[in-house]
Amino acid sequence: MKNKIEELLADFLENNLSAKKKQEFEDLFAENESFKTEFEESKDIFFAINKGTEKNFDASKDKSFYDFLSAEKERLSEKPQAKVVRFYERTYFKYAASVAGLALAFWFGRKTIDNQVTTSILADNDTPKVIEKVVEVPVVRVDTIYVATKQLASTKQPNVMNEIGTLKKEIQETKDLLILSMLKKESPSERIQAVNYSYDLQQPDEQVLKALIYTLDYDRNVNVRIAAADAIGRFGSNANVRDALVKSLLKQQEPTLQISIIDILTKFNERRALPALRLLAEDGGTSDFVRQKAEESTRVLSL
Amino acid sequence: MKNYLNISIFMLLSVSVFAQNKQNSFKQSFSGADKRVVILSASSNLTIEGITGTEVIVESDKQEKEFPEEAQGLKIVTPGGAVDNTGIGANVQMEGNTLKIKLPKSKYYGNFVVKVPKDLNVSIKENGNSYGKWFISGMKGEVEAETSYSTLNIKNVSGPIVARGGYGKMYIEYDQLNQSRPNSITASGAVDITLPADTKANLKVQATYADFFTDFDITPTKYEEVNDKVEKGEKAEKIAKIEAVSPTGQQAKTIKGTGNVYAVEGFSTTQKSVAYADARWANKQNYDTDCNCYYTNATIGTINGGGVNLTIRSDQGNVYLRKKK
Repeated sequence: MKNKIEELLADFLENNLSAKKKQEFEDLFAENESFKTEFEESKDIFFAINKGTEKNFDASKDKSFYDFLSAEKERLSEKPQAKVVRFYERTYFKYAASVAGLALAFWFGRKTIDNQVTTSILADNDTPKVIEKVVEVPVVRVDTIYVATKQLASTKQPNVMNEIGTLKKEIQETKDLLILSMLKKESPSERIQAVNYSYDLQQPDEQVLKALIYTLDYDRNVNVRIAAADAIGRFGSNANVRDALVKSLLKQQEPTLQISIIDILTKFNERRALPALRLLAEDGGTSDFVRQKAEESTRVLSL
Repeated sequence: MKNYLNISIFMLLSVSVFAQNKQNSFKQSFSGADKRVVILSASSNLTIEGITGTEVIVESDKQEKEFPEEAQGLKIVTPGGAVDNTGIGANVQMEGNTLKIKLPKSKYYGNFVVKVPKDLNVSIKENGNSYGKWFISGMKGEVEAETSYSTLNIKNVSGPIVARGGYGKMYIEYDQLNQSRPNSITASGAVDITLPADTKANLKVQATYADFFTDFDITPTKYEEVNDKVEKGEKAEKIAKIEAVSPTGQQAKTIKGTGNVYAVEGFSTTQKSVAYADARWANKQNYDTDCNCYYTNATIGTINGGGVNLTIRSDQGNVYLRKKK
């Protein structure tokens, strides 16, 4: 009961009560003296509290805060309209830039690889890194990259470059035929035929070697890989080819291929094969006759 | 009366259950030029038959299959994650020009027979079970087979055959030797090949740690004669005839004088020039007294005047090449 009256009191003091309730309250005061004194006390406390809070509050600060707030609000709402959107900030530019970057990377990569390979393989010097690159580049990509270069060349390059371009194109076409027929055929006998085609070449050709080594390492048919090993054997006088063969030796699981590769490397007296041969001989998974062969070749090469 | 009803219901149910388990064949229409059936088999024994028709039929020889109770309502998965989608344990997928068939292990589904329209190409590979027996017969298209320990028995075929045998035995009997594309047969173990007596072929046979037996007359390709022709050719115009790339002539092309890519004119087919180049390469090693001649213990020559390339190679088993009688 008391609590309720106190609540009513608070409402009364804040002028929250309806006219009817107010009247009731005043009637109550008239009737009861003690109630009235209690009310007076409450009134004093109530106003004392209100006064205290008001005193501590600085009106000027309040105003400056609200000014600041409204100014900030204004600034925020105005800014997007006032801002100049530069072309490089637009979203589509980002996409365009990334596409252009990719194209540039393709073009640049194509250029550097091409140059390195032509000089190194034809010169037949000891640059093991080059052939490593050749092996790592998936051959299937060659024609896509080629198309990209061709387009760039046709739009930008001067006359001299055009001539070189047509020359390159002619060579490229020959090679493309080989590579494409080698890797895209579903039929393994057709892939073997493509590998055999390299027997018609009198000198090693960088793209052909690349394709043959790729086939040796990654063709899904063992017989095609064996055919590739036989074909590559003819080019064993090339140091880069031997280097690729040393790497390939540790990739091969099939005994027939391991024997083929050891044969070629031994024939060309490739001493860099020694660590690989030792690993092969020590590996528990190696077939007995391959281990024997590896040990035999190790002896021959160590002479 | 109630008992009879119960029994009849039980019988009906059991009949339907048996009928489900008795399904043992699956058909898929698949035919046309240049198409290929790829079979990945975990089955113990596998039979591939070339048939006249336009349907590939997969059959299992087990009539009643008893599955473990726990497997009720579940489907078998062949090694590699292919779920049964045929009702007979196999997973069959059409992928463009290829029909992929994955066969499960034999314990519950028995051994499989796959009947294939005989002009299609087939590729057969092991999928988890390497100790089976394979029988392939009557195929007129290309046969590609790869095993590690399975026995391989190929009969009544015309090639091209590209077969890899592991340590299992390998028997191949040709009806005739298709002259369009090279054949390659390699194994770790023994190889036994039968050809019609009048077969024309270029042979390259190598039994690395074993021997080669035959009743054919092999004419060895000689170094001097080949070398002569090649030397003459080298002086001729540098014209590349890349007919060889595609036997069907799709990409036939003549490219003039660019760099070092050229073939010797007059060697009209690659088959021949490969044989010559091969012999030139191999025999040159024999003439080279400075080298340790590991590379050439191959026999290179022709039978009946030469023809398509036939490469046979084994590591540890003998090679037998016999005339068909």
